[in-house]
Amino acid sequence: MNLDPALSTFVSESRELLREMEAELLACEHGEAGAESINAIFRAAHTIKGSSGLFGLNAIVEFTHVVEGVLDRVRARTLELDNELAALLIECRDHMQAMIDCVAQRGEVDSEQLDADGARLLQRLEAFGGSRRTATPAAPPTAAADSTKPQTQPQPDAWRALTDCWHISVRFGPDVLTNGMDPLSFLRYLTTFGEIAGLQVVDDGMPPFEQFDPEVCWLGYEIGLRTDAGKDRIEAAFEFVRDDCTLRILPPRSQVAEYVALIRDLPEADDRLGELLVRCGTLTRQELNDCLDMQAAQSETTGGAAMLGEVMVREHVVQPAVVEAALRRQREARTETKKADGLLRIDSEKLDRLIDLIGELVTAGAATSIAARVVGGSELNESTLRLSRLVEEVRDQALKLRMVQIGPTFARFKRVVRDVAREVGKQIRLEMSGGETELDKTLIESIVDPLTHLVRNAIDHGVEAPQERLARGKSAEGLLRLNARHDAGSIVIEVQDDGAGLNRERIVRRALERGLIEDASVLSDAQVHALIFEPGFSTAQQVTNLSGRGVGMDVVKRNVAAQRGTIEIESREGVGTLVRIRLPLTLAIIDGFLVRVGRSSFVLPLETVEECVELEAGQRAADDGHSYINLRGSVLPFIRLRELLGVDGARGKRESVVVVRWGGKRAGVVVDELLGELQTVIKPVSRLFSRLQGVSGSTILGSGEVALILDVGGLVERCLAGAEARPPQSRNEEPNAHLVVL
Amino acid sequence: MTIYRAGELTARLAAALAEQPQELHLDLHEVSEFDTAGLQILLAARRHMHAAGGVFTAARASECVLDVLELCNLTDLVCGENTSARQ
Repeated sequence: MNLDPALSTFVSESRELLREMEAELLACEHGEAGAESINAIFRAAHTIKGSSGLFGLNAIVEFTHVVEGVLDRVRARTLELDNELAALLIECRDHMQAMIDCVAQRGEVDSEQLDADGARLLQRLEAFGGSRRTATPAAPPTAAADSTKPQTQPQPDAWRALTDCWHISVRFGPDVLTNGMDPLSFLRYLTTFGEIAGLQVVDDGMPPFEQFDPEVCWLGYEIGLRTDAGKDRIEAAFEFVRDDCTLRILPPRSQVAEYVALIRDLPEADDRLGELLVRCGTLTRQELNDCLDMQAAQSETTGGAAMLGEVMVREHVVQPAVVEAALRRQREARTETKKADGLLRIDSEKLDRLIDLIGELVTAGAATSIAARVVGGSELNESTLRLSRLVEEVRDQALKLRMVQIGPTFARFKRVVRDVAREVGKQIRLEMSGGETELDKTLIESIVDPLTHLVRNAIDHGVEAPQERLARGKSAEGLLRLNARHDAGSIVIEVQDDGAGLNRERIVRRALERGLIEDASVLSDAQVHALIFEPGFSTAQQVTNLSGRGVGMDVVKRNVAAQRGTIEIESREGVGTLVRIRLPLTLAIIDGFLVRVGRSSFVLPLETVEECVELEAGQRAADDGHSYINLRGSVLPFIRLRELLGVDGARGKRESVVVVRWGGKRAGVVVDELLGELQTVIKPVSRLFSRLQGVSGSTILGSGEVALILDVGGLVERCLAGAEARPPQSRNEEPNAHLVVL
Repeated sequence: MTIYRAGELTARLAAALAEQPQELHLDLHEVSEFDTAGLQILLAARRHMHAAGGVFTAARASECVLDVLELCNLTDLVCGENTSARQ
């Protein structure tokens, strides 16, 4: 994938437009479409068509042209945008997306599959009046429009010129030359796909030599062009000066009336123009005379059928220019608002580099603080203090740069929900909240797949079929809720449905079959539900046997865990299911709490630390792997880090308990010494240690020493599991922490 | 004869016209670049001379000038017998 920058901008902008288009089309399908929605859809299609033309992506231009034609009719209210049409347009949008994706990969649209898909869609569009070339002589739009009107028009209007050439009238704006354009290059471009049958330079606008400004463009051209290309192709030739010229294109064998309209509309004298048309070979002398006669007749008539016909023709001819101008204004308005928002597109690589550097800065800052403390001196300490405060602020700001709102990602699920619901024949209402919650961009990207999976599962297996729902006294329409919020240094994303919920018996039966459990009677509901995340649980057989969930849930869990996140499930049979994903706020840098066990340092994420208490002598006597303390009247299970990680050396004289909280559960971690807060850059642990439980990463301390970052979620789980009297896992599997540090 | 020198060339033509209002003879054989601006200057000059009842000739058009004039169907701008620069 080696695209030139302009093309890759085109691709990314088109994708953005297609996303907008999708959102609006979905709104239309829900019957929430205002005129503004339709305009937005049209605008998106039109812009994509225009830019595709610039890159010579004819497949996209041709397809989009038809779509645009249909949209134009919707906009003009001659066609109603019903569900069926909206659904078809969504498919067309998908096809455009597929073509753009193809361009992104290979730089052009070169797939036969795509061609075939496109042809099929075009055929279906024809039912809505989308024709490949709206301007072909076979079916000129005017003729179609005329046929709906009473036949009051005089016969001559139906006369057609004999020429087989397109006629192009173009007048350039005064600034074309100073803008660096040379009209000659457009003419030369025309010759690449057609033959210029006749060409006349129109210099009538030129002032006398005394007032002649050589840098102003005074010229225009009347061109007769013999070509098989369509109107859009010809228009595209003038794309670069679209805003800066008046362009009129008449197809071959147009109605004489259209030539009359052309002659009238152009600024030059009628006779002179007629002469030019004859010289271009567009009209024969006889045709011109007819034209001029007809025109004279029309000028004399006041009102009446002839006028009506002419007005209609003129309206048709004028329309593209009007539409163009309107579009331009809208586009300008859009750039205005963009400017007002002050948004900037930044290469994400640059941002990553900045974050890396700030990570280094944080480490170096910590080293300086330690050095300053050793050296002493109040001035030095004061300035390092100020420095570290600034570093902290810079870090926060830099991390915020990576933060994006989850709203747009949620919005994507509108489409997923719609498609899946249709597929399985259910009615689903999607509710979203907390779209303004921000999280790290890379995190968002990594969470889309698991979320999609959960949403699909919820609709497919969670929500019941409409009849079943009605039988259970629920509304026929199922509810799916997506919610995001911040919670104690992490992001919580919930997928909730009001479906059938998990069936305990089925899960237990399945788990017994798979040998995941031996006895279900001791398991709480939550523990049973958690079984569906077990790797062995999802099999093909299960999809058919079990109408609950569990399809690939282990994959979802693995993906979430890869981002240092956790996943949990709450379900009540007959009421619904809620899946909760908990993710860390950022990936790169955290505020940590440094502790020491033996000679090794460990870091606990600060936001998980609630408080620190001393481990009393009486409690220390307990010698097994985990135990409890009485924390102000409540039971707090704790775990000894020394034993968990197999740290060498005797216990210190004093030990402390760090009380940590994760996902609403609390546990104590016993350590030798508390060293205080620090900022730390997370470095991933190498793959060798990736299976190591209780450790989520490593970091380099200011002193150059390596410290492991503890996975608090894992620790709490273990601690509680121990408290529920499950035998501790075989200890010798635990690697020695010193191995990692050295 | 391009947009980049159009102002300068027009000024020179105006000066020549001020000296010799009834006759303008242009030799184009050294023209190495020719664009719409150049074409405009020729057209404007010819129109002016004809309006004033004077004589306008442009001769020995170079390759690039001829290209443009042929494209624009304006070969009558230059004198036929002297356009033998094309070989």
